[in-house]
This record gives sequence, C-alpha cells and structure tokens, in this order.
Amino acid sequence: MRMVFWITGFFLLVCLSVFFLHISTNTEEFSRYNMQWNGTSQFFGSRAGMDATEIRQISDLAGRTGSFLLIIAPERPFDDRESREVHDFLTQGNVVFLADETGAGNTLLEGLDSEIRVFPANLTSMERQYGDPSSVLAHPSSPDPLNTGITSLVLNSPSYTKGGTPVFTTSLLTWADDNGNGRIDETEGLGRYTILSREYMGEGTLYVLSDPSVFINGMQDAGRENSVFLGRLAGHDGLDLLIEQDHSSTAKADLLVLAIIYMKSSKFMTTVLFILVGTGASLYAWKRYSEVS
Amino acid sequence: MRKKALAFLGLMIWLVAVIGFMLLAKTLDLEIFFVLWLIGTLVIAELASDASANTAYMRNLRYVIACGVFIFGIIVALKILEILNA
Amino acid sequence: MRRYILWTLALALSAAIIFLVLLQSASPLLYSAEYDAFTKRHANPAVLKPAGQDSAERLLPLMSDLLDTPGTVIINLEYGDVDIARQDLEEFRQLSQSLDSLVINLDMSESEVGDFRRMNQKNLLILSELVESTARLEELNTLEIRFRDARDPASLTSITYEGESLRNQVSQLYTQYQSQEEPLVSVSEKFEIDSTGYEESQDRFEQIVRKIGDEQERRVFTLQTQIQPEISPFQLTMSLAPEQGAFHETIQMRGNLIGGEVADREIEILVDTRKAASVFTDENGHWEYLFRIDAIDPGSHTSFAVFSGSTFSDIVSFDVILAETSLTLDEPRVYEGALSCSGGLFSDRGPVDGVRVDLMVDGRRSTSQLTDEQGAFKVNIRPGPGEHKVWALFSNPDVPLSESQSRVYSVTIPPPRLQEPGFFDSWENVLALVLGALVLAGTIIGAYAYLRRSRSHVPAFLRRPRPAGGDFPVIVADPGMPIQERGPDVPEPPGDDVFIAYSKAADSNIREAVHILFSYVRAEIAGKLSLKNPRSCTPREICRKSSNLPLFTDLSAFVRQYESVRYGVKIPDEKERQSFIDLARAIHGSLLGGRGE
Repeated sequence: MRMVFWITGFFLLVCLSVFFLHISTNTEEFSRYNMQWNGTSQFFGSRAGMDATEIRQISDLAGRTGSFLLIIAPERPFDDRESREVHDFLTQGNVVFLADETGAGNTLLEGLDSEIRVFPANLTSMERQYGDPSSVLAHPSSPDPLNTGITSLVLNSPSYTKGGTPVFTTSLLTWADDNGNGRIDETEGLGRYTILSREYMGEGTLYVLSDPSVFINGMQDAGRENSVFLGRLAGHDGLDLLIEQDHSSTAKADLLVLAIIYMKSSKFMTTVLFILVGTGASLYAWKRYSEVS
Repeated sequence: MRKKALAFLGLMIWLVAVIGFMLLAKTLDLEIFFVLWLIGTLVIAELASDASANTAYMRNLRYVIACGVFIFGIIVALKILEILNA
Repeated sequence: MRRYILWTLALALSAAIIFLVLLQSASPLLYSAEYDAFTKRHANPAVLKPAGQDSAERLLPLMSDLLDTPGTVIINLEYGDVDIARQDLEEFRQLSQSLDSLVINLDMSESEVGDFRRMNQKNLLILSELVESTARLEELNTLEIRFRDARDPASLTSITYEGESLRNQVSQLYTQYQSQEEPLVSVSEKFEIDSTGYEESQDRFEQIVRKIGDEQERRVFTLQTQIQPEISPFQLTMSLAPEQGAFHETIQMRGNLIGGEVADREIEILVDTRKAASVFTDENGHWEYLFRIDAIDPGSHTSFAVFSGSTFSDIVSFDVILAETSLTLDEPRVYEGALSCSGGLFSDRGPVDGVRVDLMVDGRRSTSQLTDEQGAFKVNIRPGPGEHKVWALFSNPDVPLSESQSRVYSVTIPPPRLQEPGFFDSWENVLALVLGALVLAGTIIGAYAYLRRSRSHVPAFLRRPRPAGGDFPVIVADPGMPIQERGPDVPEPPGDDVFIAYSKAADSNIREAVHILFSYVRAEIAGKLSLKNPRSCTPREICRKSSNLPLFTDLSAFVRQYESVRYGVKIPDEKERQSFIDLARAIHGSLLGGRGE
C-alpha cells in the first residue's frame, strides 16, 4: 500500500509541475514567457538576458551613460515625449538598437529625426538558408563593429530599411514578394535590400534592424553566424545592456502569467507559498503514513 | 499485489516515456500512442502471465489485448486505404 | 462503501478519458510542429527543409561569365582562329544551358535574370551564325585563289555572289548584336556585373564586319578586272517585285534566259546562297518563281539565279519586314470544368495563318494551337478547379513576326460537382477495400488466436469440461434400444495422450511434464470426489482428501515423487520417469475399478 502511495504521489507531482509550467507560459508572438519557437524565452533566459536591466518606462533612461538599449519588436507607437527621451539618451553617447518589421518603430525614428525608416514588406530571396523563401540571408555591407568577421546571417520573413549606412544587406537576388506567391513576377524587381542600418546621432549610435525574428527561440540555432551576432548585441563593447519592456512585444503576458511572475518576483509571496505547500504536503503524508502503519 | 503494482508501474513509466519522447519530437499522435501502449501491455502480459495459474485480472487483460489488436487492425486497414487513395 | 466511491470515480474517469480519445479518433494526430509553423511574422525553422544552397550563389558568377564569353569568341574570329572560336562557342552553349536550367529551377523566368537569359540566348544564336558565316568566308578565300589561278570565272562569280550574301548576313547579325547591348548592359549594371568585356566585343564585331566588307570589295574587284569573262552564249536576267514583303506574302521573281536554245531550261534560284527552288523556262526563255516569305529573318536578303552552274544573273536584294502582330482572345467560356478559349492572330497586313499560338495558364504554357486561314484558333483546356489567369501568347523567333500577347482573363473553374464516380468504379478502391477487409480479418483471427494461445500451455485434454458429479450415468438396458457400447457421456479410456504429452515434455522440461501428469491425476480425483475448485488444491491436499480411497498408497507415492521433482532439484532418470506413468496408470485404474462400488 505504501508503495502505491509513493508512486501516486510521484505522478501527481509530475502532473502538477507540468501544469504549472503550462500556465506560466503563453503563446504570444515574441513574448519572453513563450517557450515555443516563436517566443523569446531563450534570449531572455541567456546569461546576458538575465543580467540586462529592464526598462519598464522610457523615462528610466534619463541620465544613463555607456548603455546599449535593445527595443525588440515594438507593438505600439512612441509618443513625442518618449521619442525626445530616447533622443536625449542617444545623444549622450549611448547606443539604441531597434528591431522592428511592422513599422511600429517608425514613430520613434520620426521623433528621433532619423533618416532611417522601416518598410514592411514580404522580403524574399534566392539566397536562403531553408527551402522556404522567407529565410533570407544577409551579408555585411559597410564595416561596423556589429558585422566584422560575420559572413552571413539568417533572417526570418524580414522587412527592409531605407536610409542610414547599410550594415547588413541581402544579396542582389532579393525581392519584395508583394503577392506572396513565393516566386518572382514581372512586377517584382530584384535588388539589394538593407536589413540593418546605422546612423550616428550626436555621440550615440542608432541601429535599425528590419527583422526582430532573429531573437526568437526557433532562430537560436538556425545556423550561420546568428549566435555570434546576438552575442555581440548582448555584450556590445562592454556596454550595459538595457532591454525595453514597455512597447516591446517581448513583454507581452496574460493575467495568469503576470500573477506567477509577481509571485516569483516577490520574496514574501514565494515564502508564503512555499510554507503553505510544504505544510499541506507533510500533513497529508503524515496522515496517510499513520493510517497505513 | 506486488505483481499487479509492478505491472502498473512498468506500464505507467513506459507511457510517460512515450509521451516524453512525443513532446521532444513535438508531435502528439494518438495512433502511435495507442500502438505503443498495446506493445507495452503485450510485453507485460507475456512477462507476468504464468503457465499454470493466472489471477482474474491477468485473464481479463487478455480480452483487453484482444480488443487492442482488433483496433490496431482497424488502424492498419485505414492506413492502407489512405496510402492507396493518396 | 468507500471502495465503491473509489471504483465509481475510477470508472467515470476512465469513461471520460475514453470518450475524449474517441472524440479525437477521427484525426488522431493531435499536434505536430507543422501545425503552427507559419505565422504572419515568421516561420519555424525547425520544420523547414534546408535549401539547395549553392544554386542561387552560382547565378551571378555564371551571368558574369556569360557576359564575357561573346568577347572571346569574337576576338578569336577577328584573328581568324575559327576552330578555337568554335570551341569557345561550344563552351558558351554549355554555360547558357546551365543558366537555362538554373533560371527554370529557381523559377525566375519573369525577373531581370529571365530577361538576361533571353538576351543571352539571342547572343548565342547570333554568335553561332557569325562563326558559321566566318568559317564559310574563310573557305571562300581559299577557293577564290584556286579559281582565280584556274581562271574559272563561273566558280569565281558563284563565290563572289555567296560572299556578298554572307556580308549581308553578317552586317545584319551585327545590327542585332548592337541592339542587344543597351538592355544587357543595363541588366548587368543592376546585378553589379562588369560589362566592359562585352562592350568591347561590340567594337571587335564591327571590325569583323568591316574586314568582311573589305574582302568582299576585293573579291568583286578581282572578278570585274582580273578575270576575262568567259565568252558564254547565254545571258541570264533576274528581277523581283515587290522589293519587300512580310510574313506569308510572296515575292515574284522573274527573268529571261537569252542566247541559244532557251526553251525548257532549268534555272536555279538561290536566296541567301541557299537553293530556294528550280524552275524551267518557257519557249521564250522566260522564267518565273513565286517566293513565299516564311521562316526567314527580317531584314535584307540577296537572291540570284544560275543557269547550268555557270551563267549567273545579277544579285538582286529584297527586304523582309518584321510585321507587328496583335493577338486577341475572347472571354474564355467555362463549360463543365473545361475552358474553351478562342481568338485570332493578326498582323498589320491581315490575319496570320499557320503559326502556333500558346495558351498560358498562370504563367505556364498549357497548350498550343495552329492558327487557321482566318488567323483564328480555338482550344479547350482543363485547368484544375480554382481561379486562374489565362492569356494567349505568340512568340516565334524564326518568322518575321513580332511577339504579341492577348489581354489576361481571370477565370474561375468551379469545383467538380458532388456527384463523384461511384466507389466501386475504380479498381484502386476495390483493391483498398479488399486489402482493408483482409487486414481486419487477419487481426480478428490474430486476436482470437491470442486468446486461444494464452491458454494453450495447459494441454487440451485438461480443459475438457467435466460433469460436476463425476459419476457416470447408469445405463439401463432397454430392449427397444440398440445396444450401445458406450454412452455419449462416457469418458474415453485412460488417455494415452496424457502420457504422450508427458513423454514429449519430459525431455525438455521435466518439471512441466510432471505437472501435466499431476494435473491429470488431480482432475481425475477431483471428478471422483466432486471437488469444487480442483486447480486450487495442492498435491498434499489432494492426498489428504483421498485418504479413504483405495488409490491412496499409489497417490502418496506419486505425490512424493512429484514434489521432489517439481519443487526440488532432483532430475529423475529414465526409470523414475517411467514410474510416474505407472503410478498414474495405477491411480487411473483404481479410479475406474472403484466405480463399480
């Protein structure tokens, strides 16, 4: 009887932990709590991601120096005040790296008075990593600390940027597949598209990448030199890594996940929960044990 | 009692392992799961059955297995139809 | 009570799970990575196949090579190395073929790469004609020297005429080559390919044209001045009208043979030095030929007439006009899943007959059809259900007609009506049904066999049901009944099959073998004593229960031996094995004997 009791307990424990794992994740695109292929949990769970400072509101940027701000896949526009604050941050000698393919970041770029813009498009290339036309390859263009020693990056359904100095561009055999049929038609012209643009502003540097998908879990071991590139972003010249968590899609979470995150982050709640669960489990075990023997 | 618990535990571990591998492969297929369950049950029935004396649950297990083999036959038949119609 | 609650709970849980599983049984694949591998913003690399890598990367270097090759061919021609030029041309052809396959594989025929490929094909055509013309001109040069030394004015005239025609052809090739330059250079600039080699080749081509022109001038000069014309009794004239024509128009060539016997003589007519026809003169020496313009390049062409290989007419030239065409396509009609398309091809001079018009569906050639005398064509095609873009296309570089394309129609082919062919109409279905039934039958048999097999290690005779009383019915003799040896329920005499099974099993597993024997004995005794659950009795219990039976002595000896073999480590020898059988027989005999009591 005791054996059955232990076995049942073990299975219950396994089921319970699977259940908690399940409710503490979600399936939102780019979300850091999404453990699926389209989440960014691996990037945020990496050493650099754990060490990074989260910027929950843009005003937290004030007064920081020697920092590298990552804005991954913004999903809502930046207002004038926020743009001004980012501008001040930038001109004080910091680096801003914006990864956006929807064009939501263009409000920030306009506010920064940058000449770079993101153009949402279904960019497709003959030079690709996978059989699917969306896995476009990009190659270094003009010299930059971000692209030295890298021969190619794999992208995943990128858009393209215009303006600024190109840092990574696609090969010439690339086109915007407007009708989405995966092949090049007469109306679609081949050409070289810029994927990563750079612009110096005051003391600082602005980078705009037209494909935030390089951060998702599915792309972490996609091959080529993506990991080198991501590592370089995370530890860029020994700057402090800041990750924007206000506009970015990576901060997306539903209510249950938020509750669990709150539970995890609050030491008091964790202790209370631990004591509750521990007491309950030992009470049950003691009761069953005395019943059996 | 011990035999029964062992059989139960063995089958449980086998099924959990199957589910684990299915999760690793990111594919959850009831058909495969069923067939692997059947194989596990068959192995247990073979190992646990005795030449002379069988308990009631072992005798009943035989009927469960027979049902399983029948359903397996249906799956195979459907697969054949699928391949031929493709 | 609590046990019942637990049972009900477990039962309800199992039923719920089985129900849930049944709900999914129609599509047993619950989840696979392909299910959500594509979102608006990216695709899951885990399910994508790796691309055939090198093909696209080969494209640009290949295009660069292709742009340089005409230059080498032309340089070799300029320096008179026709053989090397031929080799270069062969290489050029192979490179072009690999570009063709690459463009088709990458599905890029509608892009600038596709344009490049088409222009490249034309360059290949131009260069191969140039190489052939140059090679022939070289031959003419050697022939010229030979004929001049042999003072053979007829042959000399012939090669001079041929030279003229070749010069004409080469200068036309040059015009075509020139027209390619601008679009090719613009494409290559777009792909960042260095086109200086190609641009230089234009100048070299011009040099070749000039050189050929000079040679021809010299040839004409030689013919006119250095060779005394042979006094020939015949003179041949030729004229043609009109001096230009378009596709499928005719040019009337006519002339007179003068001097001597002129009636019914054969005159050969050559167009571009190739024999076009031969006609016979009438009684006045007059001849006439209608030349129909068909597969011939647009531009200037030369013609002359020859009588008996020695009397030449003057060279006369005519122009072939590139006619602009227009292609019409009527609104395609959908009829029972098929598409009926009709239309016509017209040039600026009227309907065009006898050429192939392609019908394109979604950018791919579906079928082609010859136009009739009214320039009309009509085809039926069967594209799959769904929406399609349909248009007609005319493109034939062999004839002097420009390309043209009809307007594009969007058509929707309705899905086939629900009345599908009966299930038994196709043999595949029947085969599938038969196979499925066979498999099902096989598994039913298999399942049954499994149930049987799992009992089969208990010998069959032990499973025979026995009457609970164990007593055999007393048969009362009835005079009206035929005498029976045995009643239907009378058991067979001591089954030898037990002993056979015992001997068989004894060799491999003596423990199992003695168990067989014991089971038999136990069943016999249980029958005698009407024991309820004989299989639950241990040997000693049986022994105890039959202590007042006459067979007790035999049985206890049997059980003692049985236990020593079954539970001990003893392996009996031959004699002991036999004693088992003897004891079992004795017990059996005693049981039968005791029945009478």
